[in-house]
Amino acid sequence: MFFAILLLVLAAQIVFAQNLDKKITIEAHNLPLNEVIKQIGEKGGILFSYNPQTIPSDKKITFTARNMPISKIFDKVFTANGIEYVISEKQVILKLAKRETFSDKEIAVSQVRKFTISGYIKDKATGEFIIGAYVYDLASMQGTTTNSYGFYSLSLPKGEYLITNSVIGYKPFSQNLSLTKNIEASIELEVSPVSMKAVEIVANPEDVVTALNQTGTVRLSSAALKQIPGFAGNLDVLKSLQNVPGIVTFGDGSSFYYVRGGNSDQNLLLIDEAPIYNPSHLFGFFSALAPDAIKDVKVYKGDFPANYGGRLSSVVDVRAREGNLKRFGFAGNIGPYTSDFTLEGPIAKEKCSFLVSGRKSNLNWLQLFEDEQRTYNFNFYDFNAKFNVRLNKNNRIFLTTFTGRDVFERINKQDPNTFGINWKNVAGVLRWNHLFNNRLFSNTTAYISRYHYNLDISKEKQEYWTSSITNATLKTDFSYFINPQNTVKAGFELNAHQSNPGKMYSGGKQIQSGMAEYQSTEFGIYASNEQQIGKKIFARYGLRLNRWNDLGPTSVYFFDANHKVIDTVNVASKTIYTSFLNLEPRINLKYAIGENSNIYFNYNHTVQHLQVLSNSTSPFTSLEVWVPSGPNIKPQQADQFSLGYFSKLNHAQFDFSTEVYYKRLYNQIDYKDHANMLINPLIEGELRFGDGYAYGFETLLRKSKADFTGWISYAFSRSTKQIAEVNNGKTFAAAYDRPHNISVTLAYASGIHWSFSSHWIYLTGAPFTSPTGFYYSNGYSVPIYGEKHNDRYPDYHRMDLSISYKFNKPEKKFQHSLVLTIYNVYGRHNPFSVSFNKIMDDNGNIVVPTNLEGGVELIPTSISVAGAIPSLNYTFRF
Amino acid sequence: MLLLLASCEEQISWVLKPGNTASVFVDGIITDELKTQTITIAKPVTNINLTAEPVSGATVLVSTDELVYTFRESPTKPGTYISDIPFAGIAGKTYSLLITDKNRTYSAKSLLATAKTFNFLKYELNSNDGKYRITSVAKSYDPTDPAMYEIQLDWSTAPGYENAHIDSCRAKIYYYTLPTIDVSEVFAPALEKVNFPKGTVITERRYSLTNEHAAFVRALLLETTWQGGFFNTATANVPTNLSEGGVGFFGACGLVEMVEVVK
Repeated sequence: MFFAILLLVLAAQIVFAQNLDKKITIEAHNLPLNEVIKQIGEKGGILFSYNPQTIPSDKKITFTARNMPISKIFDKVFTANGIEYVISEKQVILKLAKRETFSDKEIAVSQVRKFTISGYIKDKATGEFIIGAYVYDLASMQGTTTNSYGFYSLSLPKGEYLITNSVIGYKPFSQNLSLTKNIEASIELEVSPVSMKAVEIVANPEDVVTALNQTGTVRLSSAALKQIPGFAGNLDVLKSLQNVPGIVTFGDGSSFYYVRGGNSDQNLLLIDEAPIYNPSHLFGFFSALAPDAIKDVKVYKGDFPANYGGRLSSVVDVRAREGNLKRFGFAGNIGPYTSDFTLEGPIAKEKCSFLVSGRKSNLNWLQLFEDEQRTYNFNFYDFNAKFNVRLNKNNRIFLTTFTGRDVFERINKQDPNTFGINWKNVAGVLRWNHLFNNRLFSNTTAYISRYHYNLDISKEKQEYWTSSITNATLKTDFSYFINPQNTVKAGFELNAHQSNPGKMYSGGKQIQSGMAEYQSTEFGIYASNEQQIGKKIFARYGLRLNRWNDLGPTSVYFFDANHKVIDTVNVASKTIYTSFLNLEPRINLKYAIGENSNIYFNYNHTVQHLQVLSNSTSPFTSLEVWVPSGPNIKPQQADQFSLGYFSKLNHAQFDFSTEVYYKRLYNQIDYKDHANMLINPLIEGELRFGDGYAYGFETLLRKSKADFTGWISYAFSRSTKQIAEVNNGKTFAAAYDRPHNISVTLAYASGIHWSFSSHWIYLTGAPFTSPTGFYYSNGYSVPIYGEKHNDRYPDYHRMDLSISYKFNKPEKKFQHSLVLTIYNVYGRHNPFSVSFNKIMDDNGNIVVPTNLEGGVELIPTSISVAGAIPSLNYTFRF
Repeated sequence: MLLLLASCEEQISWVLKPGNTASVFVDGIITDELKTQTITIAKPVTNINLTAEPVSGATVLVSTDELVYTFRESPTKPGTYISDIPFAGIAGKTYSLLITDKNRTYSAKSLLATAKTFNFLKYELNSNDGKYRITSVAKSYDPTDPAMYEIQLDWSTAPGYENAHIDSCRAKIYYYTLPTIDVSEVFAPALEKVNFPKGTVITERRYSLTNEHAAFVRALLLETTWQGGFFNTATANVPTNLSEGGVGFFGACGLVEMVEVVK
């Protein structure tokens, strides 16, 4: 169906192109160009889109054409006046043709005297900074983008420039600047209304600064996220990642994701630079990121800049909104499963603002499904607050707090006992932006992030198990914009980590000793340069140096070759007992082929010192133990090589990229059979180590402009492991090895009221270990296994739909909509578990047999998150 | 309950991949009861619900440092070997099993764990159907005293069931106290409900377990009772104390038995 829609749209363009053969008569005597365009539009039935500021629309021309094909008139009117035209859907988009660029010699000569244009790009309505906005001079093809704080700095030779600022979703803004001195130019961009969408693409800055495209990195703006149908009416960052080739999500209801053959704990998720250890609610059904608080998401899967460290496989850098600096606003999303509200506004206009956003589950009505023996309580919430103040033109402070909590309780009615699990993420971030001068920008961040969870075995008896990980960090990043050809970034980072792998309490008193806490410190320093070499080559190269120390007080267990404890050392407080020093080179090279294409190469070496120990095969988050590298756990390391090609097709209507990669992972963790991961002081003795291998091919076709947008991606990827004492040392497929991955997302905005989006995903079934035989013991049918991961679940596929109706016109202050989403619209049952140990009881329920007297007739069963899950949400904003 | 509301468990057909299976399995526990002890030996099967082929004609010996007990195959139950004489295991002794079958010898050792007294299980009347059900047996976690509870329910003599088929009036249920806690235990799948009428004879036996035996039981439960929930752990072969590729477990347990009639 999606391909049919795509074909229809393409067909419409072809038909429209044929209209250009139509012959019309135009007479213009000393008329402004925009008047001539108007005549052509009226007589030819052509709809033009252009930004009057970016073409010479006031230029007066004289031109006569009698019974001439429109296409010839275009050549005579536009081409002759330095204007290019592009056919997009049913419109003709006009933009300034590129002038001949400066020669290297000209640049060299003019570089004798340079001046800097710098400032911030902001949203005109809210005053919030815009991340990734383009700032460029079309004529010289030199430009830059704003950083994570909306700041840019562009140094150019003395001269006259038409500087354009643009970013998708906003009207571009151009201004003539006479660069005879350093200029501070902070710009406010206006959001594009729906009717102006065509104009957005006139600017097409990527054509100008192709080399600056961060290929291999995927950016999801808040607007892009809103186009992807979410689960139960919730915009969901983590589930949106499944659109990105090379990123595999586990499946229904899970927030686990795997990047290029890496495990889920090898992904770093940052909210305003603070790591979040368990970004899920309700075991993974919902992401713990309040939708309205999100501003921008960047996903790095193969070209990590040197300022990121600590994980092997990906970085998801989420930036929260700062809050409206100009007026108060209130927004909400009310649905059957969750509701969220956001309040924002200025504390001191244009100087200081706040944003608070909260979400809470509405799941209590589902307690209708309690059974006769038990009641259940599900609850979660998250709360974000952000405060920022501009102290002066060179200093700005941001304070972000994030809290997310989940509670699940199962209460026995007859023999009152409350079993439960709850977890909580807390993060507080303080950031200070400082501008030393118009080329040197710094950001200093201090944060504390803590993940903590309890397993209540009996609340009444105060029997519980608890674990946590805490991280406190101070870091500073510098960006020095030397010139348009070089931007140097450098910084350092001090981390303190504390991990409690698990303590058992009964009657409120600790009963299990020996589970030593871990204390670690980490120092990281990095430097990198983003360099444009000539017109064709772009290089980003950097080096990260990382020092990791484990400190006492603790008890360190040493194991022999059979994993039996042979020695225990009690380490005194603040004594370093293990250290690791690692260098992490990062290289990204791009070579421009023509104006619209490039090829690129990435190499990264990454090191990870913190890991989750869990032998769960569940797609849902449960009890996980975070532990650091130490005497028994060497740091995980990875080398990744990738080679890609990026191109803009069909007059930049489409982005196409394709990439191959190879990744080798060292010191990968697996587990002995039936490893005991809870309340086990000797947990490190349960681990087995080996290497991982991943390789693949990814391709993406994306149309991200105009009313009809879409992503189509395909990835072929393999991920294997070889662990000396697992599977008899033979290589086996990793649990997240999903060779074929197809994702199709299409969105269409029909006028100002209706919008539609759909998403379809296909994944090869995940591997699992199925029995090759059974034996009987005490009436149990006990499975016998052969090779690890010898079987696969059925292939996974699913379609989600979203239909949104906006009640009001875009210019109205009060905006409100109804959003209908249907998750898994055709009700595909995608199993995440297959079992051979259950029976069908007299009531038709599938249960594990309890009565083992005599024989039982077992049946193979599967569990899936089944059926279509609809949700009708009401959203509003004013 | 969104997870459960949205989830769906269904019967499927599944063709297992072929692979190697063990040559024999052993199921037997020596207890400190004075009785004829039994040990079962059979061949594993290649799919669920198949009848295991008994291993007949094997030589089976159980020994301690001082004594050797010979087991003979039951004439009525092939593959089930019964001790020549009744004997009671002794706590603290190590019992060795030696099986010789077609020129292959399997051996295992097990220390007999000391028996311990226990509190009888609790049950209650369900007013909806007028039947009883067990509400608690023992705590599931104890780091020092692992145990297996075997509960025999027999209502064949209960009023109203005198003429019912004997097999429909009996149930055998196991509960365990283990020195470990597992995620899949905490989130175990739903269990079959067993209800019993007034007049049921409840026989509860507590088998003390060694740590090795408890590890076998834990793995067995991970692969059976606790498998198939929302939080499974990685599957793997259940450990065994049998040599030569045999599977199953040869155990030795101190046993305490209590009986009560539901009144």
